Amino acid sequence: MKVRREARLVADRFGGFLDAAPDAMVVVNADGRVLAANRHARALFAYEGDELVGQRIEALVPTRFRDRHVRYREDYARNPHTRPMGAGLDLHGLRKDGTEFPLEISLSPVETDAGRLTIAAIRDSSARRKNEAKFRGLLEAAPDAMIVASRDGRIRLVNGQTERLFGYRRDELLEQPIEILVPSRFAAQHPNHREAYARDPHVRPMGAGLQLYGRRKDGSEFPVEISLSPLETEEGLLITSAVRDITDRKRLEENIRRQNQELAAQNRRVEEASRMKSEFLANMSHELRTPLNSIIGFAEMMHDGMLGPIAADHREYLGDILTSARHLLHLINDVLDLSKVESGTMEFFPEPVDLAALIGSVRDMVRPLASAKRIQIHTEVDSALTQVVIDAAKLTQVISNYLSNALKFTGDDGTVHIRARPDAAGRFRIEVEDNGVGIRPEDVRRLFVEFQQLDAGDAKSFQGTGLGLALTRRLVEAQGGEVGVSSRFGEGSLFYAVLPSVARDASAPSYGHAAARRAVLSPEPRIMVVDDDVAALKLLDTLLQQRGFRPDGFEDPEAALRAAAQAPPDLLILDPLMPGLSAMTFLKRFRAISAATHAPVIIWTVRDMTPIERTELLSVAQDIVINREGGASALLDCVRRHLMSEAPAEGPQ
Amino acid sequence: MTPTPILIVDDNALNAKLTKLLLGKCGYDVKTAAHAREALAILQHFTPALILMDLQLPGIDGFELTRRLKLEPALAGTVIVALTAYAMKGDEQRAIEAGFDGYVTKPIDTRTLPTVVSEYLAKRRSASA
Repeated sequence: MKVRREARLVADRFGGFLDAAPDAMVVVNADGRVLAANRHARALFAYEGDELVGQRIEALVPTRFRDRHVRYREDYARNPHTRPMGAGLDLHGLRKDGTEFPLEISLSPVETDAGRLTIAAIRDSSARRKNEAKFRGLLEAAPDAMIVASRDGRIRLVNGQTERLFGYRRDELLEQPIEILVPSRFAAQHPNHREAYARDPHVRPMGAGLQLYGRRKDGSEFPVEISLSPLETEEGLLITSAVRDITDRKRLEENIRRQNQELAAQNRRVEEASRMKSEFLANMSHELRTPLNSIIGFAEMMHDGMLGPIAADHREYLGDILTSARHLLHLINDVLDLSKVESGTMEFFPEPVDLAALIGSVRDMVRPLASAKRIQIHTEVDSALTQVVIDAAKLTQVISNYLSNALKFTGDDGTVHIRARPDAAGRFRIEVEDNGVGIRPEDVRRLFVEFQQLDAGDAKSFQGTGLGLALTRRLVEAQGGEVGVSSRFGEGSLFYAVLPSVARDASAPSYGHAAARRAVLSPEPRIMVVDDDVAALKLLDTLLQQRGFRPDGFEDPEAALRAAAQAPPDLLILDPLMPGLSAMTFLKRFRAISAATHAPVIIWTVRDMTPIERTELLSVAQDIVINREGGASALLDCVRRHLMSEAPAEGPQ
Repeated sequence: MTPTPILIVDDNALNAKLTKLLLGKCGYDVKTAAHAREALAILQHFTPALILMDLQLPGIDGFELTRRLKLEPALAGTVIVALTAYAMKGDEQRAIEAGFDGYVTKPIDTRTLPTVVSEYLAKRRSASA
């Protein structure tokens, strides 16, 4: 009866509120009798209408927990306050049909006319349990140790990997401060880091750039990599740490580092050995050449009769000494060159070269041998190939090697042709053809190999180093070219070399990229041209203007000096053959103009100069360009090169 | 007419002897020194019109010795020519920077060296004239 009355009272007072609540709500009196159960509660426990009213609340509790529940209820009655029920316990509800389900309950005491009542808000937690189980499953599936901690650093959840990695059992970790997994020397600072992370939580690696360590239960440490991610939950912010043991990786990295160091050291030793070898060869060849200097010198003086008259047969033997000594010198030079090309220390100095003139001079060198055998040498230089940019000394070596070979292997009254013509785009071809002994097909591939001399057969033994063709090949290949031969045994041979018409040169600004170089030139560099030949002035003026320079021509050197004092040029081109004023005097006065002290000076002349003249001029000028056919482009290259190197270092501001 | 004095500084005795013989045959008054110290001692009482100097010398090398000699007022009129085995570009510039008036590459050519020497001497005379 009392229950009915109280139930009515509750229905009157709280009915509307209870039914509007989103959760299942049950009102219980001090005796543990149900006074009201809202719509959600009836649905949750599968009761209908007023069936629950008047029943003991334990009707909703699985039988095995009922006794305990009564005790809890009595405890609560003595100290009632709003709190979640059975914190940390697995709570279960019992439906009318006898099935159970997990639930969460929050209790609030209410004082009424009917005495103190308790309102229980109940939530089916099976969905949450399922989510949690799924989450745990995920944690267990993760390859890393996963630790979920609250904002205040208490460990809430760990996976099996965590147990294995740190040597703790799960229950030894839960609710412990996460700092127990941190080496003690870092533990004091750790809460600060933790708090900083909580203020700006986002997925990121921990301690970027730092070496992090974990601490096992036994106190041992190991290197770790940690990535952090925030986890927003009903309980507030949780922080998930994925911890990876990187001991193995560290060891691997260390091994690789050590191996790299060893390789680098080995490399240094090899480079050092190669450098020492080159140095040794350079020194050695110097040492070998020095005594040859006196052997050749004394023999030459005696041979030439400078030391008094000598008998004809003595003169002949002195000639033999000279021939042998010069051959030895040649050999030494070849070995040195070969070792230089091999070690990559051979330097190339490309310059504009007049091919016809160069070939002519090589021809002059071998003239004595050619005329001794009455061999005709024909030269053909294609007119389209007036000038190439290449290391003249090395090209001379290549052509002279081919040519002396051709002369050696060609019989008396034979013919040798030297041809130069353009090849594929940007390349030119030099050919030396003879009608000598020729080469057997099986020997051809041995031709360009070091120390391989072919059996000369009937043609006596030929004096040679066995290095000439190998060196030729290496010299040509080092410049990006190629060599080859075609031959018919007994009919003659044709040796060729194909080379870039404009050599690349690492040590100087490259040729052939005028546009690129123009970009870094100051706008319209001012170039002063001093030349008493008006026609030459006019020509240079046109050429320089076409290239974007601002030329200023002067016939009169005095007028040029006055103009330079007014506005010093960026560069000076000077013809040294001026009437009235010597080039040296002019240049000394030009240099005395303070602003022109550093302007590059190019000497531009039609005349070859003696070494003394060159030396003298080069002490005040930067370059000398001889005005031969095609010389204008050499001059323009020279101008660009100097303006490039003189350009002030203007970086972007 | 007294013969023109020339000093050869070369640490290779045979090469120095050869050069001395060659230039002596051309009528010069030639002395030789094997190293910088010997050269300095000779220069106490011998003022050459021309010095042929090897760049590679034991102790003070040819570059350094020339730098020092160029500071001597007594040698203001002396032409110093480098004698070098380095057939390298860039040496020309380096030698001139060190104060050399010119350079000749080794091995010397007995058929051209006398001409080159007389050219340098002619140059010197016309400069001082």
